[in-house]
Amino acid sequence: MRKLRTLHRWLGLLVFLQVLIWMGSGLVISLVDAGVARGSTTLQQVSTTPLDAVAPQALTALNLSPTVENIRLTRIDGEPVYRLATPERVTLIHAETGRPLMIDAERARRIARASFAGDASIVAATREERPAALAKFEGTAWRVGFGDSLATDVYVDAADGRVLGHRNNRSALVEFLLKLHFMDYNGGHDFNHPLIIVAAFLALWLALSGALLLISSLRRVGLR
Amino acid sequence: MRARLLSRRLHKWLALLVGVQLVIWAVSGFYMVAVHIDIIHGDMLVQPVEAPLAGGLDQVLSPADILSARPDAHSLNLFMRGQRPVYLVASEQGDAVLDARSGEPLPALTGDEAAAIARRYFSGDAPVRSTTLVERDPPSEIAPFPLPLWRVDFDDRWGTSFYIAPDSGRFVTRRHTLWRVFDFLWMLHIMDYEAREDINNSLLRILSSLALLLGLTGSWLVYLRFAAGRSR
Repeated sequence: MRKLRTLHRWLGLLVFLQVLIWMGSGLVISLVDAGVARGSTTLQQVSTTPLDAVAPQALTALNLSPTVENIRLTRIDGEPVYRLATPERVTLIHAETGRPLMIDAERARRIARASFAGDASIVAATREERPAALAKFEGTAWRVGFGDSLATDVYVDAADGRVLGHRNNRSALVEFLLKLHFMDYNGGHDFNHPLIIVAAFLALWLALSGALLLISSLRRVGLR
Repeated sequence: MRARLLSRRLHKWLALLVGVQLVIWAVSGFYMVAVHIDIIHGDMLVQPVEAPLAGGLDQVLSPADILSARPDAHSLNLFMRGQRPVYLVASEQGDAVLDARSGEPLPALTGDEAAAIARRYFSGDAPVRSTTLVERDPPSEIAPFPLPLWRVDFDDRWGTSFYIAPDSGRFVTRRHTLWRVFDFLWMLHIMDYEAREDINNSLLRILSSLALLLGLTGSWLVYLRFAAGRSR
């Protein structure tokens, strides 16, 4: 039992700081409203209008790549658009004129505005490659910043005009806490690296040795 | 030394309150960091499937033809369902899948057709064990996806299930034993035993506050033992 106690103390000495960080960051993440941090309180569904008045060009006029897998006729920012997807890339073509449709800053602002529930005004629109705020997105996005109390950024895919998500100051707080929780100091949500595996292994034995000590102490002296 | 005795008691009592959950956090946390997330996601079970439209485009109806029959459509989506080009028409009434050559509504996939699609995506060579149409009471592993879905189970050592949408034929998601273990441990980790998604529940907040106190008293004891205790 003495050996177990020594083990518990030494493990405690080795990982106490990270264990405190896990508990503290976990607690604060749990206290922050996850819906707000996810951006779901400002995100609204964009109402779509039927395509009935549209006279789309024929598929043969589209100059299709032989690898195209998916053709979608839809509206983006009110315009009828063909979205052509190959395994490598997505292209937008105006469905009536056949000209490429670009997601420029103006269009990105309008798309962001339509997805935003509220009347805060837009303060900035900047192009970002692999934005750090979107862990899984590898492409280029427009970041459209709003002047609301949460300082919401709406991310719009620069390739196809899709709304990738809303991020705000709570998301940034949670991102920071997750970095600490995952010991992931480079960003990118990597929680499978050697450092954290070693730390988690030590913490596992800290918890198990603590549980054994507690049981034996309760047996010997009860609650004292 | 009174302070030391008090911290020790406090440490013990807090451990009594949160000990079980603490061990659960340690075990579940260790599993989640030790098994790589790509393995959890089952990336090794799936191979890329190319489904170019090129071969099927010649006799396909034009989008204008489809729109004149379905003026209420919000979007048209043309892709291959298995070997057949289809239009998925989205409107206020919901989605409809049409044969892209005839414009006629297509019946939903049979189990065998769903299994054939799943097979093409499966990177292993184990046979299909069973196909089930999930129409209601979905298992929690497909909670975010709209029903119905074909579940195609493979007879492999991973306990692989692929889910295929019966109307569009799309590969929706995959699940296997390591994912299911992760999901169960995630539930224990965040202490939401119902939907496994609410990280803002009071139980978690209370337990993690107590755990933090436990950690602080423990750190104080470590300090007393290794720094202050040395001068005794």
